[in-house]
Amino acid sequence: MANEAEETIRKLATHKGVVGVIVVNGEGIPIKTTLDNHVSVQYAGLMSALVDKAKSVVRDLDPTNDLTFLRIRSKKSEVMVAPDKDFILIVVQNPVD
Amino acid sequence: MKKFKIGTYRQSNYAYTKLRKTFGRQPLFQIVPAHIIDSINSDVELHKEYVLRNPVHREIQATLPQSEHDTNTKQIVMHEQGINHTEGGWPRDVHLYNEDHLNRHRRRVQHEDNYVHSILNMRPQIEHFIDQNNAIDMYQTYFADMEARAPVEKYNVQIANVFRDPFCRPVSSIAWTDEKRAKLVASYCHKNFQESETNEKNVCYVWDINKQTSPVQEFSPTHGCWQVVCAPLESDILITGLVNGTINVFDIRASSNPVSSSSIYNSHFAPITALRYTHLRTNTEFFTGSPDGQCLWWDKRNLSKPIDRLLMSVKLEGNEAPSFTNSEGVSSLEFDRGLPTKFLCGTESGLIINANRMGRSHSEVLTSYWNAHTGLVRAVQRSPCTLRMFISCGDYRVRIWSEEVRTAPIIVTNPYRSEVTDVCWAPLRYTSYMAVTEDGVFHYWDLIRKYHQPTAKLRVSRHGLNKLMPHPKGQSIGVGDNVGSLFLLHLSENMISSGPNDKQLMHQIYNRETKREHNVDTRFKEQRLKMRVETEPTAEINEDEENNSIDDLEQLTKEYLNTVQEEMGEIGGILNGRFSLI
Repeated sequence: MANEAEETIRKLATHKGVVGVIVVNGEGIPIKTTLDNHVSVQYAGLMSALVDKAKSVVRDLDPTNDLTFLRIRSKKSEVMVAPDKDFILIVVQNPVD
Repeated sequence: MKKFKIGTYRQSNYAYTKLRKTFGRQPLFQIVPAHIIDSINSDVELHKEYVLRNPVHREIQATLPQSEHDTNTKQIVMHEQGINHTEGGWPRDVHLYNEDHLNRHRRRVQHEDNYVHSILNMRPQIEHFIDQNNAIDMYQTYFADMEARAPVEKYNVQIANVFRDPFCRPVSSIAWTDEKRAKLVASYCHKNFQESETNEKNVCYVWDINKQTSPVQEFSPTHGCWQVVCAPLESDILITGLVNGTINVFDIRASSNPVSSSSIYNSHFAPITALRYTHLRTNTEFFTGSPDGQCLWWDKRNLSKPIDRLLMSVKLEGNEAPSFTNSEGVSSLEFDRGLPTKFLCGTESGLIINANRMGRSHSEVLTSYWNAHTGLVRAVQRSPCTLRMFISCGDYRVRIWSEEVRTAPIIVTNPYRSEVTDVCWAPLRYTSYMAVTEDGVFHYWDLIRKYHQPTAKLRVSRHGLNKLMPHPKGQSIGVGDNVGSLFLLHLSENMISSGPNDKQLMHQIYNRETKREHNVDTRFKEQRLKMRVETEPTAEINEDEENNSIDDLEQLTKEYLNTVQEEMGEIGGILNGRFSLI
């Protein structure tokens, strides 16, 4: 079971354009990451806050609604965040032009 | 003296005897040394009924009772401090600096069921988006290099404001003052030729277009005012033509009564139906026309007599001299600065006369005329695009003419349902003109874009409209109706200014239509010539047989007339009503 999770993460990291994959738990600690520690910790801390905020926005506007996905497009890369009940999965990808 | 009881403190009597014979005598007072009359000692018994009281200190002040009470919030002590937070969230037993601990914690979490489940759930979604990003660039600006299309023209005419005459007289003339914030000058008059109503008010108004309730200024001509014109460059000077044929000049700054007026003996014999400024650098000359058949030129500074006069007689036979009996009444005049020596005149009999002031003889001055309308010509105006083209209106029709073509109008449109009372070209837009009719409708035509019907029509009033005057900038139009309401219309942007090729296209239309008329004319002439040539030799042959010749001649004339009719019918079908541009 744990192997499957490992496999998944590895597969994701080998997709075209993907810079790194980070799994963050509810407390904001990066559980599994393919980037170095310093960067992972930054992503973990910043993203957790943003995901919480986004979730609260969606829920406030419509209580029956829920956040499914979050994409942040910047000049140099795109950060995609998939929120779950306890964990969030962050993938950083470079746009392929 | 009697002794009295000691102890009865309350009551004390002193009785004495007095002889009757001494009553009424003057009391004689004597100075007597002091002596005790009575002494009352304290009663010790009464002492027992009283008790000594504690001494009381009391301060008294005569003021209102007041009190003082103060409150304050609880003091919150605030303190600014920075936090250096690098990493956190680890459970208490895991130390940050211990790599082993961290890894152990991580591995523990990874083995949880929850973790694996979550990862496997999130996987398809994230893979979808990764692939999507790889496939297309979602965030690019699409259609960035598409050129903007020209905006669709929407024609819009709206009534911006209404100015009502309190006396409900029909509007007789409208003019715009020549200043930055132009004002509307309107004159009102019932146009009856007999000046029988002396109780008719003659007051005319100057309206500020933003103020609807009352006019900015008023001015009162001596008689009913039929025409009013504002001096160019001077916004305070107004010139009015009146119903008795005289002119009144007003200076609005000075007073509402005329500054000067012409004498009735030197002016027109009939109401002044047209009044126009002429070209002169000093802006002081103007000319007037009237149904009495003459045009008079005046100098604004000296109205005692006109500078020049001209009798509008065109249909002169042989050596007849022009006089009042054969002159045509003038109903409208047109003068354009571009042609300073020529002017156009519309008459009451439906002719439009082209006049050249520089002619030496009478026939040279009144060069030519057109049979324009069946009634009086209500308005004539040259086109701002081509000065050789002019528009006229009268009876039920509006027609466009060219100076070069004598026989027929170059452009005609279908007759209107009611009489057309005024027409004018749009000042800045070469292809458009506007017309107002007796049923209260304002028509706006664009000759290039739609030629069978007006591009915009607006029902302005329930009563007939009788005057139309656009502002020289083209955006606002003053329209007057038969009960004294002056409407201010606003046109949308695309109706004011021309498109890029409009002038060219308009010139093309003009050239084409003029050529067409010329061609039609020449063909006609050819036909007529041919007919005449054919009938002549047949007449010669039949000279011998005189008995039959008369019958034959009659028959031939009949045949000739029939063929001419047929030809006319064919060609006339193109002329009547519709015309095709291609």
